[in-house]
Amino acid sequence: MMSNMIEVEQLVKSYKIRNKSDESRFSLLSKYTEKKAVDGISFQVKKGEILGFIGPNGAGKSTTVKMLSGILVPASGKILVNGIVPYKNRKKNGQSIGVVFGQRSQLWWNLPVMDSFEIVKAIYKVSDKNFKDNLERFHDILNVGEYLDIPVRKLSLGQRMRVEIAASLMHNPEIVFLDEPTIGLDMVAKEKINEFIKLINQERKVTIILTTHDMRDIEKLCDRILVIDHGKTIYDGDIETVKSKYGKNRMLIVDIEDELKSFHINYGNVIKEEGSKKYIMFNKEDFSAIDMVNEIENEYAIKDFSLVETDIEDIVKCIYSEQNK
Amino acid sequence: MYTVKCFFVLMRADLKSRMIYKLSPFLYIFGLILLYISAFLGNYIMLTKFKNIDGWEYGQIIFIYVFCLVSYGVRSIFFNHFTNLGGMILDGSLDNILIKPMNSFVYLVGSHFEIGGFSHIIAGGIIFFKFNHLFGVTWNVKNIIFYIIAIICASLVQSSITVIIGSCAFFVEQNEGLRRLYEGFRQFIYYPVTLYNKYIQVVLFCILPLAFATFIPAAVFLNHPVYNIMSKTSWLLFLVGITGLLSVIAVGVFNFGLSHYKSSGT
Repeated sequence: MMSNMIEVEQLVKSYKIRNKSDESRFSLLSKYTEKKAVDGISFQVKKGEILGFIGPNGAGKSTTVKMLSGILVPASGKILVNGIVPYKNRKKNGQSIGVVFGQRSQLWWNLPVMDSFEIVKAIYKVSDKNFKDNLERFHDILNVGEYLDIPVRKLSLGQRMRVEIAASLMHNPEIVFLDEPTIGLDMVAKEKINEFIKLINQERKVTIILTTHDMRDIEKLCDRILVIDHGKTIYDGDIETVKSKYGKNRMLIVDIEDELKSFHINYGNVIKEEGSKKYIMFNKEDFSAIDMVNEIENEYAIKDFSLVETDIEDIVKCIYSEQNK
Repeated sequence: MYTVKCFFVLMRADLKSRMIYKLSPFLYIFGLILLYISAFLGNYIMLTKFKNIDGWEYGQIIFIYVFCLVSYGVRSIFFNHFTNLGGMILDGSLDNILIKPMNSFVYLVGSHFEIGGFSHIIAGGIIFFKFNHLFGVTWNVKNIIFYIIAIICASLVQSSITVIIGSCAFFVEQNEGLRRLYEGFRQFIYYPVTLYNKYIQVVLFCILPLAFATFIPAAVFLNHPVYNIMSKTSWLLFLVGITGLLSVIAVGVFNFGLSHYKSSGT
């Protein structure tokens, strides 16, 4: 038994965009520029691991997940998923993976939940016994049994997402890709989904790749995170390091009176300036926000300020700006 | 076996989900039947004024009309969804199909039926039985078999063209224009193709080979003098050959398009 369920090496995927310059607009042979959506990513995922796959919108996450699930063919590089090259053996790969797209349902909108399960059963050749066992198990954890007779369109988003995940696990896949499974859910529903993911991971040793924009999901579930931006890996390692480094980060947004003055502060890290608005990232254990405001107040006139928790995007920005220093 | 089973499971689910809104699909089909019958009646009034157009009796023209309606109906039921491939690529629902461990083409056909197609077939049937006496056809066993084979071929030709045009969505972002072009040329084949000028005939025989879907089988069937160069049986074999070729090309273009999408999409 190999220990790496997923092996990705120097993965590249590029696409062409048509030049919109004035000279080429009217020419039939329009010129194309190649843009790399994924630019040399390498990583491995061990059996039973939950990998948090994060990065800002457009970083290349979805493209990578699509290559892992056999939808797209890489331009170059190596991928092995459970010993299979996904794009060469799409159907076989499909049998060993489960995929959930948070923003796109795979269920039959007008039909009762049970019908969607039955279709999964036929397509993935799930045995009667496995099907029955899984239904019972999913009912125990998620209460999906309660809405088996209800059409999918009448479920709440939280209920639907539970069914969505249950359907993706019906054929006992060894690997599951969860693409923003908690998007748009309220706190309680998120909690429920996260518990379920954790439990299934522990019970069945399912390998999971999770993409999300919610730092709390990552903290609850993942042992390791992979951060990408502009198609490149910018961090790959355990979550504790990132958490202790950035998880306690807060962002102070101050609006100062005088725009022209060059802005400088001794604490924290100015990550963005929008005219008179300054975004300062700082660690709440190192400084207190009050001290910072006082300090700024000494030199500049503050019109307004606010304090926000940092999200993944900010952390990625922070890691990225450190990398580029 | 597995693929056939999945096809029927998907078909059942798709039809069931359409029947959820009980009355609506029936009203939809009924409305379309009225539309096609009334369009036909307009033509019928014109036809009765002429009796004979360029060697074609109006009964024969009605025969071609029915042939066209029915084959388009069959095509619509099974393959209409291929005209929407562009939309499926844009909203990502195609990706949902690509992650399934089964043939994507079969999944696409099985999971999207267009029940509107039944209206073409029913309307065609009504016109057929109403004007049967004008066709000048004796319905013996041989003719019935010929007719059924010809209808199947015609439907497959219409379907193949639909699949090929739909698959263009894999290469261009918008294939709505092409689809409209097809819909436009499709209107020509309700009548004998020899009525049109050379350019339109070239298109209908060679570029969008819609003439093979309706005109040729109908004309051979009606023993039109133009087609007396071969026996009926030879013509039938010829049609089956052309249909087979077009079907293979259609599936090929679809698969080629899919692999292009897989290597160029993001």
